[in-house]
Amino acid sequence: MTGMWIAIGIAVVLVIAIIAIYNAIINRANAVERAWANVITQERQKNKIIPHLEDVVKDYKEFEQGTLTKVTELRSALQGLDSGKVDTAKLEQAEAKTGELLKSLNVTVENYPELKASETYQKLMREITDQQENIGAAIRIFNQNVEDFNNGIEVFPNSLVNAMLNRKEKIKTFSDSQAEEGFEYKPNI
Amino acid sequence: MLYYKNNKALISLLKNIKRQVSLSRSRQELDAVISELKSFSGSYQLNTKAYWITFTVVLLATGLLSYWDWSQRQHFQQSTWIIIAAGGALTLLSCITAYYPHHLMAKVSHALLQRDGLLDNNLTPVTFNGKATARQFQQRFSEFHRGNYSREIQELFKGSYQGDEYSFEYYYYHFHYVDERIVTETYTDSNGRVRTRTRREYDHYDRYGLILPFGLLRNFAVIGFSLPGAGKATYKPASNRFNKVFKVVAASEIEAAKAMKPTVVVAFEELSNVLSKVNFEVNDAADLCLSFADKDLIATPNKVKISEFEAFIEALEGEQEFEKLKAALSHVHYVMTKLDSNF
Repeated sequence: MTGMWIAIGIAVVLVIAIIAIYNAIINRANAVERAWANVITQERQKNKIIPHLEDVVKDYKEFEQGTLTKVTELRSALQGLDSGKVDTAKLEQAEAKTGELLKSLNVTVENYPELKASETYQKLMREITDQQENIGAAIRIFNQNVEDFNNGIEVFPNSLVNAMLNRKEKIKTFSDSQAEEGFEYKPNI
Repeated sequence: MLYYKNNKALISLLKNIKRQVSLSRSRQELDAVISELKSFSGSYQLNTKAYWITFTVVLLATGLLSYWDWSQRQHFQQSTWIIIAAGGALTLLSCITAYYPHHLMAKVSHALLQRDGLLDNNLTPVTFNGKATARQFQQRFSEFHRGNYSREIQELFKGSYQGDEYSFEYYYYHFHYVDERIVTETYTDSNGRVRTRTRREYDHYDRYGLILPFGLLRNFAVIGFSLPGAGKATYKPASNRFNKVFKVVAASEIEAAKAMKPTVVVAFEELSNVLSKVNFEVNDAADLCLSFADKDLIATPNKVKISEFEAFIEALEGEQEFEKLKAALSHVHYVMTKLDSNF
């Protein structure tokens, strides 16, 4: 009789442990999705800046043509992003287009000292820098959550529970040195 | 009387320096103290070899004499106790005589470096009443609603910070509070009956922090350590790492989401690697209280002593940096710049 109670006790503990592990994996997967959605939200903030950028460069014919092409490419890359599906390749593409646009802006603006000195342009650049920092930070948070999730499905006995019940696959972290450079905050010590 | 020649002069100088350092408030006053130290004509090295030899000899003599006296009758007699008492007193005296100059040297060296470090970091001591100031702070911030027995501010310094975009004045404080609790215990009395009795126990705690005008938020808190009376957290940023350490309390979820931009979230994650048990509380007057458990924010990092004179003067003449204080202030400045960007 005692043996039966011990067996029941062990079975109950086992079931509770499995439920806890199952739920923890789900929580971590949700945290990754949320962090990804956050990255995409930050990326899409660029759509707010683009019209201001177009306004600023519209009086500079030569400048406008080159920049507008890059702006269109960036818009298209931003449209391809899906906050519901983790796709680091598309994010990489959007970040590359942002990089190209900023590079083009920095090179071309040298020919227009009055534009470079204008308050609107400087404010715009500050805003772009701030946004790039937020994207960099959001990517860092995403990568941290991905690491938590991957650890959560790979360590034992979580790997067993995942293989039998959750069936989640390992997620790749996003690595883009340019995007990471955008986030400038460094602790002092 | 116990010291002579150079040791005597050096001890007298150290005592004088100690008194003057405690009175110095400005760079000029501290420089005058350092000049006096530099003008000492003797050696900065203490020679306590003779005192240590005396200590060893007295200790050995006491041991040997006591043993000899005991061995006469194979038990402790009155004379043995007299030898032990007299020898013990002499041993203690010689030990204190040998140790005291080194202790004084370490204390004065630390006091000088500490005062210099405070001045290097633009920190000046503020005259205050510990209990009254704690009461004032308690009216402004939930952080000070701690300690059911007593609350007191034990240190208060005023400083200023010059950042790229903002500059502000701040107060650094050391808050000490005591919790009283009643402990019930059972014991057996002389009649063998089990009885209970109660006694009061006092637990002492310390918190440290910075208070400054923040201006960019109101009624907002990022809580890494219990904050008495703080509301319930309704907003959670996306970061697992942040959520493990902190919770966010704001007037509304939208306000919390607006403030907790990814850069701000990561900055708090970084801050939690530098400081422990952090609370970031902005009150309804938009003043910030950044509190933590770390006591070494304004502690001099130098351990060099006056006896290593050249290195000591070099440390005084260089700029001492309070790294943790700098990290806390740059965090506040960084959060200010991130919250102030409105396009």
